[in-house]
Amino acid sequence: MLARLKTLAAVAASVPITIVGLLLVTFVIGRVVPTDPVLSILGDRAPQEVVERTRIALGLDQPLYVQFVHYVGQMLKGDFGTSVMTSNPVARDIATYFPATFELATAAILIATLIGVPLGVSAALRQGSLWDQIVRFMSLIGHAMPIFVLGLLSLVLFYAKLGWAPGPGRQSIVFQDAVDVRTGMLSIDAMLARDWPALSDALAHLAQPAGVLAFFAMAYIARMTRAFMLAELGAEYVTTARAAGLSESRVVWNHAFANVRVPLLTVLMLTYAGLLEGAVLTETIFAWPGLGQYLTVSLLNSDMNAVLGATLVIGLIYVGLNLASDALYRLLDPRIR
Amino acid sequence: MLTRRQLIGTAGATAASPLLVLPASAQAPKDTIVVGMSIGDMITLDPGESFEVSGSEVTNNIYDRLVRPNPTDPTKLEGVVAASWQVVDNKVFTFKLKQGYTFSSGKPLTAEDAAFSLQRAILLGKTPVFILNQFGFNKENVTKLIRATAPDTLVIELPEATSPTFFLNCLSANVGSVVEKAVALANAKDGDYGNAWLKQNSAGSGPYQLRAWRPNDSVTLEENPHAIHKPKTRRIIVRHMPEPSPQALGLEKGDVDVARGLSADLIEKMKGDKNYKVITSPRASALVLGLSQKVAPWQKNEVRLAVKNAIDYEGIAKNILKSTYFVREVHQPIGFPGAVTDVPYSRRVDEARALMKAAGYEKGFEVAFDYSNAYPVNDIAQALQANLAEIGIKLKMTPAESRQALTKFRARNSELYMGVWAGDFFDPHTNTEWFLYNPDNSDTSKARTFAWRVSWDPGELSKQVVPATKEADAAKRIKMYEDMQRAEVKVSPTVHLFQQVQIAVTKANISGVNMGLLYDATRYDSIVKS
Repeated sequence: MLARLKTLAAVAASVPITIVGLLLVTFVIGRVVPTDPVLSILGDRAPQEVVERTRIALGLDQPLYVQFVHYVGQMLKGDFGTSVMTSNPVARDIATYFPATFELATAAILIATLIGVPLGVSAALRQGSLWDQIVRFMSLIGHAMPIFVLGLLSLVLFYAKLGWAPGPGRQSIVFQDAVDVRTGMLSIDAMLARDWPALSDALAHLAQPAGVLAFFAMAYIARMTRAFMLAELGAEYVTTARAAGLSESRVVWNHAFANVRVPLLTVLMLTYAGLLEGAVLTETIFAWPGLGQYLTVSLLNSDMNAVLGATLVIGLIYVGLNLASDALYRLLDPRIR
Repeated sequence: MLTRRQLIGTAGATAASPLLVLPASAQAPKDTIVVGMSIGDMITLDPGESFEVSGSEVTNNIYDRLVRPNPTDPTKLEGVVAASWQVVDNKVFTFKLKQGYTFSSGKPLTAEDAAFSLQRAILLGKTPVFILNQFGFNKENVTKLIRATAPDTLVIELPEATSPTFFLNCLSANVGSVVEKAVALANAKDGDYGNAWLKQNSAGSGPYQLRAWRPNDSVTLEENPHAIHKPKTRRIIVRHMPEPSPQALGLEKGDVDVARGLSADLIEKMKGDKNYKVITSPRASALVLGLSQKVAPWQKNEVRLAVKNAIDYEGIAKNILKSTYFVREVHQPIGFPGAVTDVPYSRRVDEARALMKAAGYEKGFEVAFDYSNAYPVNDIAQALQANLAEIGIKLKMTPAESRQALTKFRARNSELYMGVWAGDFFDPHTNTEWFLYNPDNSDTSKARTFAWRVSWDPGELSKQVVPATKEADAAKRIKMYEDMQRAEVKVSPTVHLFQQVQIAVTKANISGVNMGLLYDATRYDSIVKS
């Protein structure tokens, strides 16, 4: 019991340290980049006195550490500041942009897992066969091809040539503002409102970017699953199980795969965290207003409040998913209990 | 709250969705026009604050101004809200307003609103305030000097006499937009004159009102039901599409009606296709080189002239810029009042080498070259590197993100800089001041023009800038600007290179796309889909 409490305390202490470290690094990088933040807010032609006034209003005349302490202080009060680019409080911006990314990333990781894991297992079972070669080749493409190329190819094929999928964006014009915003995820909102045409439209728009992202995630997941499975299938206990006369499906799923679950979970969680960070290129090509695009545009405009806020959210996601996978390890691996 | 079951349900549906037979993309209805362009620079839609390209274009469709340049002959000014005006002593301007202009709230536009809007811009003190402040207005005197004397009469008293055309031209800028006083004040917070609210809402009398602005996503404009001039299309949606290829695909499928950010090669391809219309219009935006006078060789005019004679203007325009820019070697853009058509320089390498020799730099020298690492600037930079190498000038290329390069140049730290210049308001003064005015060449100067940034003291030329703004005789005034343009190119450390051409591509069934010379002049109200 005491040991457990100790572990919990260690975890609880590591989270804020990680977050403060993350903020500090982002803050320093943001402040030492040779771009004048006032330039982004006021443009090149602002009169000198307006520039000075804004510099003071932003606290840029203060030493760096004062600025940082002030920023963290504000943040603890729940005030992330205002974004220069959108004029909204950063917290509200993140609440707007993050659900779009969450929807996209979740759809992508689900597709990738549902296809990638069975693909990897089946390839491992037929090592060296034609099927194995096909799976490995697809993984290679997913690893080697830049995502924007695949995104554009997908648009040209499914949108322009075949007309199967709608174009970039999250919804068609006719459905704009048709459904009340509840979660910010259009497909969920449409479902909650029981607006089936809007749901079909939202899913249709989601399919292509999610499919493209899923392809890349799937390639990685399939490759890793195959490697993990190969290692297990060659182990002595599998031979023993087979010799004992267990059915092949029991050998594969109950014995070999059971041991793959833990490392595979790490792969899935990290992939998911990477997707939640916002896939900038995919979001840009598919005009998907998500966190990745928000962060990139803010970064290019030295909109530091927005950059810090978004970075913090991403950091929290990583920490959260790490804790979640820790908890799941305990569930899946009796040795850790 | 989302239940697990709902979440799982979505997951299943999402995974299966590629298998669904998807509807062919729902095209925009006839009463809606979709414009595809980048709105990544949009940070406010308050006309008293907006100074970004995309934001100012949108506000131009929401608000009316007192006067504007005539769309067919931009060198002539015409009244919009103003029916007529009288000028006494080049100082007191009395405007009679037209009847019938009505805000989207249904209330009529009065001189009180017009006076308030100008006062508000000065009291707010945001970026575009300098357009009005250059006449001597400030927070203390503005409520006294700008006032409504009757519901249809606006009186503006300038602190000092000035050229009437200059003042009127400045009033045609975005900052001169008329905002509804009652709405702005009703939404004011902490004495901001409604600034926070007007960033994302509208209170104008123009053909459209703002329905929604989603940053980095879209702007939706809807017809102002009370507008005196009704738009031809009820709804305009400006969609943020930063990439050219999706814009082209959207155009092909009919999801985008007007594409505004296509690349030069895509435009070339669409030019011959009868399914599309390519609309072009020169824009008051130019690419220029600045040769810092902190660098010893640049201080010699022979070296500056050598650079001007070494550049292959035509070659770069033809091979890199294609239809998106044309050669323009003086500081007034084509289309501005007083713009001369001279082309003083072309590639004459022998002459350039002789000039280098005369300056004592026969062996050449090396300088760092700051520019933005984005198309087309980065491609031009490489061509310039090759051109200047031929006369012995070695460029150390230091490309950077555009604002980073600009930050360095603004601090007077660039040895050689290439950047974009776009006029701020529709008067030749905006360009002449930028390149010729530098009354104080010290680091602490208030007037941080291009001339200041390249640390150049133009001497006598700088002294001609202000008198030109006071000249009451319009024809004489134009002559002054012509002379200053011609004088500048002979001596300045600025090399004017190319002027931009705005290009919109539409489907063949779209008509009425009008793009003006100035960055904010594009109007949506005549666009129509047949």
